[in-house]
Formats: sequence, C-alpha cells, structure tokens
Amino acid sequence: MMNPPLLSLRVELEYRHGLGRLAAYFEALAGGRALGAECPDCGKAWFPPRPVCPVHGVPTQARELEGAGTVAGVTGATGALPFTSSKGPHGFVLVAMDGAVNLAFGRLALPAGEITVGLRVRLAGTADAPPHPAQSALFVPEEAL
Amino acid sequence: MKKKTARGIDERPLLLGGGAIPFRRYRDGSHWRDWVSTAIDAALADARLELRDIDSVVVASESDFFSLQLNPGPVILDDTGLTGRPVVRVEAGGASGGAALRVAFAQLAGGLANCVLIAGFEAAAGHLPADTTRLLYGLSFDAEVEGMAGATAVSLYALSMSLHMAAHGTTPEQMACVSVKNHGNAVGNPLAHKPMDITVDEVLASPLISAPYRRLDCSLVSDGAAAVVLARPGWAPAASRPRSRIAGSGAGTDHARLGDRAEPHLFAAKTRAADAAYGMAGIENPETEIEVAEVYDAFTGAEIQGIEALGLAPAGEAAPAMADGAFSRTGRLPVNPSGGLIGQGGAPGAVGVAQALTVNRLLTADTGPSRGVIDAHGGICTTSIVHVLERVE
Repeated sequence: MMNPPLLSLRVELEYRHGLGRLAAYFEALAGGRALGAECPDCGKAWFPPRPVCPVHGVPTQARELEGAGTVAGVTGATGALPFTSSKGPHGFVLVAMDGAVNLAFGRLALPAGEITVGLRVRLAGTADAPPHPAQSALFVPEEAL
Repeated sequence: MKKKTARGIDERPLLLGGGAIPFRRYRDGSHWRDWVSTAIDAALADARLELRDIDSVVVASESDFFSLQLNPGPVILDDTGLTGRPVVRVEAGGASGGAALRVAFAQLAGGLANCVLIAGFEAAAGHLPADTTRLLYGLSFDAEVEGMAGATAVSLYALSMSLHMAAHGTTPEQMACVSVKNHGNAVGNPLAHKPMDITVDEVLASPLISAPYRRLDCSLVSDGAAAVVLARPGWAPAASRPRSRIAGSGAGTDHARLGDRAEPHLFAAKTRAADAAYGMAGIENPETEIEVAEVYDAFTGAEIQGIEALGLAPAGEAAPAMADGAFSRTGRLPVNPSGGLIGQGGAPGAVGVAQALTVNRLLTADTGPSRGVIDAHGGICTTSIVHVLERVE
C-alpha cells in the first residue's frame, strides 16, 4: 500500500469557561488594579495572588497593592496572543510589584529592545476587554504617565 | 549502597530491553498507534520476551490535543495483544516519560507486577500547525494566569535564562555551544530528528525567537515513540549480556509560576529530584560518580541550568565548562550523547523513555560508563523526575 492518506480534520471547541476564585483578580486587572493576596500569619503578599501561603499553609486574604513595580526580567516574542490575531512583537516582563514577594508576568507596552531591567512600571489594564482577562496584565512605564 | 529486601536481594528493577522509532515530523500518513506498536515490538524483541511475560503497562503521553485520543492505554493494549493487563497513562508535561519509569519502578518495588512495559509517545509535530502547538504548550505553565496572557515555553524559559545570565555572566556564545554539541551528537544517531554539524556562529546568526533564545537554541518539536521493559530481578530471566538497572528514582516540584520562585533562574525541582535519586543510589558526589547524563535540554540554557541543578557542575560554572568541552562526548562528563531534545528530538511522552534507552545502551556496552543519570521535566522545570541507572554485571 502506498502511504496512507492524510486527512484534514478541523476541531473547533467553544468553552463556557469560569474563572472561579481568580475572578476578582481578573476583574481588578481589567481595571488596572493590582489585587493580590497576603498571608494573615506572616503578612507577605503575592501578586498574582496565591490562595494558600506556601510558608504557613494557611488561606490568604485579598489585599490590593498600589500597582507600581520594577522590571526584573524582559524578553520579546512574536506570535498571536491566545484567541487573538495580534502577532506582536510583544515585550514580556517579570515585574517585582511594590509590596509583593513574587514577580508578576505580563506585557509591557514597549518593544522588548526598549525595556531594561530596573525600569519602573505601572499596571495599566486594557481599555477594551480582551478575549481572556489575563491579557489585561499590561504595564506602562511610570515616566510615561 | 544497595537497597536490599529482608532476604538481602537487591530488588531495584532491571532494564531488560527497549526500542524506539526515529523522532521526526511524520506526514507520511502513519498514525501514533503505528509508532507505539513498532516501538513495543522492538522493545520486546530486544528484551527477548514474549507478550505473555508482560503483566503491567504504563503509557506516557503529554497531550490528547495532539493525539485526539483520550485514555490511550486500552487502545495500545488492543493494538499489541496485551488486553487484560492493568494499564495507566501518566502525564507530567515533558516529564511524562520519566514519570512512567517512576510509576513502573513503584509497581515493581511494591510487588504489583514482575515485568512492566513502558511506552511513551507524542504526536506533537505533524498533527497540528506550529502556532497551534506553541499555544497549547503555553498551557503547560499556569494556564489561566500566564498561558492565557500570552506566555509561551520559549518566553518563560528565556526570562529564566536571562536571570541566570545576569547572576552568573553566562553568555550566548556559551549557550550556543550546547546546540553545536547536541546537533553534532545527533549525527550518526539513527533516531535523531536534526543531526547537523553547525558552528557557534551559525547558532548566533539564527533568527531571534525570544531573547536570549535564537532558533538553534531551541529544542525540536517532534513526533516519536519509545518503549522499555523493566522487571524485578527475582523474576527476570537469566542474563546473557550485561544489563542496567534503575538504582535511584527521585521526583520534585517547584511553583508553577516562574515569578513565584525565590530564585527563578534555578531549577530547584530538579535539585530536589536529583537529591532523592542520588540518595537512593548511594551517590554522594555526582560530579565525579556520574559518568554520563541525558539532561532535559528544552533550550540550550536549560541544559546549562539542568547540569547545575543536577549537581554535575557548581552554580555558574556549567556554561564555561560547556565552552571548554567538558560535556562533549570526549569530555569529562558526556551530556546528551543522543543529541537530546535539541538534536535527537522533543516528543514529550517519548523523551524520558528514550533517555533510558540511550543510557542503557552506553552502560551495557563492552566499554564505557557504568553509571548515568537521566532527567526529564515538565513546565519550566516545574515537575522534575530523575533516575540513576547503573550497569549490572
């Protein structure tokens, strides 16, 4: 038998997707607010939030941060964001948010080549609702505000 | 140190044989079920066993998005004539194959089976467009918070490596040496997807994907299948040739989000897994006691980070040692003699199993190493599984 045929199969999946206990985080993100979480025992805060303190193992409580931070890592990439046709290029950053002990992943509204570690940034949110609210993790340089 | 039962017998499982298909992008109309059947047939033949000798099966596969088959275990059993055996499918991202070995180890150590067939596969390359595969792999991290925000494997690994470069002065040239080594090691490997003789300059001239990673810094997306047979020493047929055994098994995890880690440039999960595996195997100084390693080189920098996390080089020293040839085939510690994910191929469910094949082949040769380590991880070294293999005379 010659090579078996190759079929073209198109699968389209449409989800009814709940955000659960992350909903409040994402709602705040869309509005440019940094809703994190803090441990009632040690007072450490995380943004994005962690539901349980990794040190004390107790449920955390919501705590809003001021919304500014410092770029700790930067890279760039092309390719569409999920559920969009926006191919970029995108500048992706890890940001040490003021008041948080972890780093937040997001995009910076600058080409990657113009982003430096140590740049002060602020969470800006997005004017239009993206297909998934995680894409509202968008930062702008503080000097631009 | 030997792990002995009350009767004084070392019950750590023996690797009786294995087989694999070449890692490729298959667009010849073949099906992953064909690949798995071929690998299993080869494994049984190499182990000199019959189907009736297998009393448990462990299947490794990362994603049903690639295969369009949920619960693949039973169809594999049907295809190979093993229906009726217990089968579990194991998933741990890129560590799926390593996880399958660990599950088989546990079954044998726990007395649930005498002889376990492990089959790993992935249809990651030929089935879907590259952009779709990239988005799916982006769901391997914190899908909701990061994957949906646009995080991909390359961007997260790039961020981690950029921090390693800042901490230790690792250079793109040193990272490029990994690609040169691994593509070169793949030459002559009949299973390899991209055997190539390339130079550091060619790596540095390849297109930038996500700084610091260029195209030739990246592992391959491959289709593949591999199978091995593990057995209890008390059951295994008498050996007519040298064998190897799994002397140690370890596993560990780290925070799924890179930014939640205290030191995001370190592969802490791998160190946890390695410490457990080395402890079981009685290894106190892996730098001198490990003689060959198959390390999960998702990217060139990840091999450098992995070597350090496995204790095979001090922190910050793997990159200059790489550039000096320490980890080449003729160096002090060959790393990825198969070519790794960068040269041999990246089919997640199959990789960990193929690593066992490679090291087993080297350990059972007439000359060469007698003890090796294999390492697979999922996510950005979020789930890490490490095994130590050693030659048994």
